[in-house]
Amino acid sequence: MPLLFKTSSAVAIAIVLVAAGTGSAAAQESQSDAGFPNTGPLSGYMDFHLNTADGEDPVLDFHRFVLLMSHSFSPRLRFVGELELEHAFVEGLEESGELELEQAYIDFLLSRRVNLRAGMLLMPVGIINERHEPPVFNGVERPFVDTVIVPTTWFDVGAGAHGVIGRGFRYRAYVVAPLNALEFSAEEGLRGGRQKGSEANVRNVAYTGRLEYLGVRGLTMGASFWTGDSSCAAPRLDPSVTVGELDARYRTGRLELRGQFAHVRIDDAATLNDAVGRVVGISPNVAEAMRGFYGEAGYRVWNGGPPRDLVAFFRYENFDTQFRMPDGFLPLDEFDRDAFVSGVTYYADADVAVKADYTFLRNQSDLFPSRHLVNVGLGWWF
Amino acid sequence: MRALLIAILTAASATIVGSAVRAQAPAPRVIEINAERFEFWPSEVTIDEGEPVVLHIRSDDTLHGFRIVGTGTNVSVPKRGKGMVAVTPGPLAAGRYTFECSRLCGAGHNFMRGVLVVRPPRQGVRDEDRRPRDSRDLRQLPPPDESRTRAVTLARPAAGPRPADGGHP
Repeated sequence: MPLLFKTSSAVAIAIVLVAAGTGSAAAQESQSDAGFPNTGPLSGYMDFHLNTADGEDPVLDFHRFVLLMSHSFSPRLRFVGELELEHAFVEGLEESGELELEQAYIDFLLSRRVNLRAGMLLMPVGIINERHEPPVFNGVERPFVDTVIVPTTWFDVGAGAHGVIGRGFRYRAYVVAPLNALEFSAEEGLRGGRQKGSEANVRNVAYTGRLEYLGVRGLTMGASFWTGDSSCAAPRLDPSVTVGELDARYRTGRLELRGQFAHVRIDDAATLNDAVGRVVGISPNVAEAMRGFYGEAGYRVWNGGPPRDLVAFFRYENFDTQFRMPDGFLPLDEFDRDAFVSGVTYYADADVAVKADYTFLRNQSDLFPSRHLVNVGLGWWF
Repeated sequence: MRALLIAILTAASATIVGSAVRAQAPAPRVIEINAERFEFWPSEVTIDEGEPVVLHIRSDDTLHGFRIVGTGTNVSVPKRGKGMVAVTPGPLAAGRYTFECSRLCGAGHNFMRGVLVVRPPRQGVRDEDRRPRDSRDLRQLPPPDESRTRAVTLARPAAGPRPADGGHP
């Protein structure tokens, strides 16, 4: 099936679904529209960090300043937006901060089973990507697996559906813009390939979805995927990318456990490396498979409710962006990494977290030493 | 003197009768609901039409909201460690009512929804059979008479908010 027809069909189907949802929502407007339309209060989250590593100068960084806004046109038509400024400062043509539109979508809330969503969406992959407010996770920085394997925060334009099915199952399923494989790298995997809804090339589209089980108190289990042919500036070079992910969170009493496993497959990685190498003069050495997983245990050692609220945690992570290489390419061992992270999170308020952690970061290379990182941070939600 | 004695006896009788009436009124059923980014647990709550119920809602993290769509119920759920909010839904007709977080709480805020199911009265149970025969045990109700099910007219829905049009199936 020609690429143009396939892409156009997917986009047309998405538009029809959204239009049908609009009509359905309008026809089913409840009699109780008192209080609508209304704009919710401004919300947001911020964090800033002190990062130190042995042998390097310490860095003090206002990492994120994020504002969220919402507007309800009616009980069934909602808008949510999220605007993020990273590293405090954006300067044109310079490698500095980032100003990003991370979310901006309309929800058509039709029924418990099916609701439609369109706009700038968060990819429903992993624990952190849809749930990354600073008081919600342990550690000053997000897990490494959620940085280089699942490229959090991963967002792009698209449309799709979400809802609840059966007893305790919740799903999301979207059609979204694909990645740009020309920006993949050995160190950060897919991260540079996010188009972020900025004049995204949709010669191809990607499909992503997540199924969660929340039927047991304190337990959330999730499985997600993302798959699509990338769209690059180079014609006839559309490596297929597939991400598979499993995760779970469980909380009982003072103990919280969480774990995640993610695997990335890139088809035609050898062709991609050759093509980019010919253009820029050096092969990006992109792998055909990347893998990452982590397990974390947190214990609420002080459980008196904020401000008498302190969590100690330990996390082991293993993340390898060179897990399997295409024929003719060798892995760069410094990118086969694991990390031991331990620290505390103190809650001055349920929405204000003071964090400190120590990370022992090692790799499989004989050339690059292991690193000792100490981080201190303050994050809040309002 | 006789009039005073009669007045005292009358007042005492009224107190005793009032206590007996209060003793027979059923205590509301308490349903515990936890709110956490981005779910309510349980996300499906079932009650009977006319059943006295109070919802105790607690947050495991931030400030949430709790709104029952199509009714006037819209409250704030205090942050973790700040207690809980007790919600007594008004008289609701049989049907399904969506409840949701009404305060933006993060990226997944719109996923934070649930359903309150109000079941209609059981068919085949006469109104007089609903009243307890023995004030010492309020649960001694006769089993439904299956042979009379088809002949029984459904009780009229209670007055009050009805499920919104296009309510969830």
